[in-house]
Amino acid sequence: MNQEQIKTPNFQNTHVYKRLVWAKENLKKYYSDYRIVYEDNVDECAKIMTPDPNWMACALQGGILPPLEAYFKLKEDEKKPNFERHSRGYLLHNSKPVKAMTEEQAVEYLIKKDCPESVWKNYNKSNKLKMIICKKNQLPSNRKWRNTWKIKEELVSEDN
Amino acid sequence: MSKTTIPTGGITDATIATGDIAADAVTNTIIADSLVQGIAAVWIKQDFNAPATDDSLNVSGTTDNALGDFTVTINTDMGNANYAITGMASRNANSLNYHVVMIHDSADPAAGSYRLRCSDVSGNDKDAQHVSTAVHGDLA
Repeated sequence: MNQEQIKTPNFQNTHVYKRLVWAKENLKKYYSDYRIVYEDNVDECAKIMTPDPNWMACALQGGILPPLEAYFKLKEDEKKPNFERHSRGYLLHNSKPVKAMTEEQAVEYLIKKDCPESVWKNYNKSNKLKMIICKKNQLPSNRKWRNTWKIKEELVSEDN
Repeated sequence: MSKTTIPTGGITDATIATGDIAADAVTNTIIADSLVQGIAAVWIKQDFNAPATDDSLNVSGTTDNALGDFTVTINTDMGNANYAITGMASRNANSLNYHVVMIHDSADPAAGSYRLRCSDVSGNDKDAQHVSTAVHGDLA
């Protein structure tokens, strides 16, 4: 299967679940080496997010995933006190899908979609970094002391 | 609704001619709606030890929170948090400890994610090699 030759159908107005079924049948899983390490609670160990290989294939292919704004609006709805169920799912399905991303752009998209907003919006605003993006081989090689893992204090943001 | 009786001889290949089925009688939309209700909205097979995702559908990523503690984030959100999660965890090789997987006690499921806790039968958090979960319910 040559992923580069597969053309994504026009998926705007198609339920995202149906797009994912299409992607699973037509795209090869992509195992990213990127890991997002973040801390959202000082009393807990660092958390490590890994992009899903099927999701990453969709991100690299383009024309499948909804725009981030659609997820943000659904999250806003969910925070409302009288929320019972989503009534604006069409924002996911009817919005124009995002174009093909690079692996790095996909990681950034995933951070904004799935990491707590309190982490990614202010990741470098305190004395210690709350989040870093690293490669898989930069993590400890075994999980013996998993519950003690923390982001190194001496790491500084390149944005500073 | 009219009732159709199936003859004793059953339905042969020629009983229903192609012409009897109107064009677009069964639309993709109807099929899709039925499927979304009937099949797993999300499924994932993980290895907590590696950790890695072996395969999945409708998952955007996983978060390793701690030992035996993972969050699955959903790509197409569920309609709300009232969905059903089923799961199973394996016993690790050369271990006498059986593992169970459950909804994590520190986080209720949300429309876009659910957090899992895997432990041995004594309640100690463990990373099982095979952890499978599936979600049934309404999609957004």
